[in-house]
Amino acid sequence: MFKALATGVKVKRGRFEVDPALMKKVKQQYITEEEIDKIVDMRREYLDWMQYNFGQKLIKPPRTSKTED
Amino acid sequence: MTEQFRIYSKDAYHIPLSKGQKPPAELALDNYLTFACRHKFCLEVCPVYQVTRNEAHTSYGFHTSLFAIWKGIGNIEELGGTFTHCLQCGACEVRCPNTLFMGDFYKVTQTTIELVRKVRSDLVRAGVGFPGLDEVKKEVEFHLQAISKRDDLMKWTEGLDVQVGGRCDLVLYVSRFTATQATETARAAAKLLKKAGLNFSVIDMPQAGIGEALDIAREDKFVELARKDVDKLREMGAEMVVVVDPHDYFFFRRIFTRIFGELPFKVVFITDVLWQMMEEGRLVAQNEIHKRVIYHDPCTLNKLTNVWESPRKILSKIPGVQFTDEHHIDQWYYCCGNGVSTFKKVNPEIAFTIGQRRIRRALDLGGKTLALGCPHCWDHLTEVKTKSKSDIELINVIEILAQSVGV
Repeated sequence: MFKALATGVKVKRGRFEVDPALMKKVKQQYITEEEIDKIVDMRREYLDWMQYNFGQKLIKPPRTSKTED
Repeated sequence: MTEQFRIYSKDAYHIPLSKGQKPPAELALDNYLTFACRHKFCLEVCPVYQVTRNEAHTSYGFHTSLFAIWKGIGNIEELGGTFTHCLQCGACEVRCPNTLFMGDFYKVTQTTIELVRKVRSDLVRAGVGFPGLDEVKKEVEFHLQAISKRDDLMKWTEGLDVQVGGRCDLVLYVSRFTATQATETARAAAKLLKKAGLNFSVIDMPQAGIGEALDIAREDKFVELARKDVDKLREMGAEMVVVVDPHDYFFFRRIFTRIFGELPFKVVFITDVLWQMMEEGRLVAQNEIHKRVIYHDPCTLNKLTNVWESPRKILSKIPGVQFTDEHHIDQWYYCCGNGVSTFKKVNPEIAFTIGQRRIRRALDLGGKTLALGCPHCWDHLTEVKTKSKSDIELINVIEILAQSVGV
């Protein structure tokens, strides 16, 4: 199961959500769980589409970072 | 009236705009978030912008116009000409990173369709109006008269030998537009459910299905009609409601749930049920249908409710059909040109151009038949096809399946 790494982040149904208490300036809107699911599904599909269309090659990370000692 | 119902997802949208007054600060902040984003991913994905190349006709333009009024460099009398240039297709909403990459995290998304409806209704309430308003009012009045005429509304069921009204777990929902303008689609849906051996009832005298009411400050009427249908379905004992018109499906899944909360029945789109019946072997596509088919994703399914798989699966399983699949994400950029409510009545020329481009795209891919999932797309593209003298065939996926199944 996912675990939130930052404060102010909650995990709900296995998904990250901001702590609503932090949303003081910009108010959260009314949104159903179904609509949340729709966004998550569409994001996954969109990223798959991006990968299919534009992912020509996969760049591997270096074994060690040049900036590290 | 709007305060009584959750017509909009954002509280600030419920405060009406007035002549000579600044929009509320909460709305200005919402507008600013789009104005300041600078992504402008909402431009190219917008079928209207692809034709007019006018940034004012995009989600970015709508939000910026309102923000300008808040800054004191505009007034609401200027809004009508721009806010009528929205198909309400939802492309900008889903393509916007604020929705696609952050919406589920922050629970703040791009809600352009609601904003457009709010502004149009506010313009009506403020006595400003917008171009084409009279046409839209006529359409709403036409619907209100038509839903009381049983002979017209339920005529499509004649000779089908199906239960109409009464108690039943499974209800087929066919609203006024499909019942009167796309009767072959409605009949094919009923025949296929019957062929699959499902025990179902057709809703008697449906009332809802007029999204235009939300554009002309008639939210009360929209809610009243929606409530009548939801109450009727509850009284019928419906556990599952099968919807034939994608516009109605969008209303049920996204708007009715916002207004009434969780519905007491499950709502599914017709092609999802038909595909399930095919998978279970209860519907067999046996007759060869020799067509070179392209599928057009209706906005209300693809962008607004994320239903795109089942029509493709159905077409792929019909023997004889040469199906060229255009990816559903590519089709975020498309629309038939009709729009979800008032667009075609206000901007017929742009609607025609968008439709013409959609047909050309299908022809470019070698398609001879454009399979549709929506009676409104069929209605509009038929007009475009006739005017542009195209020989492409336009037919609903359900009707192709019915031909193959042999009903």
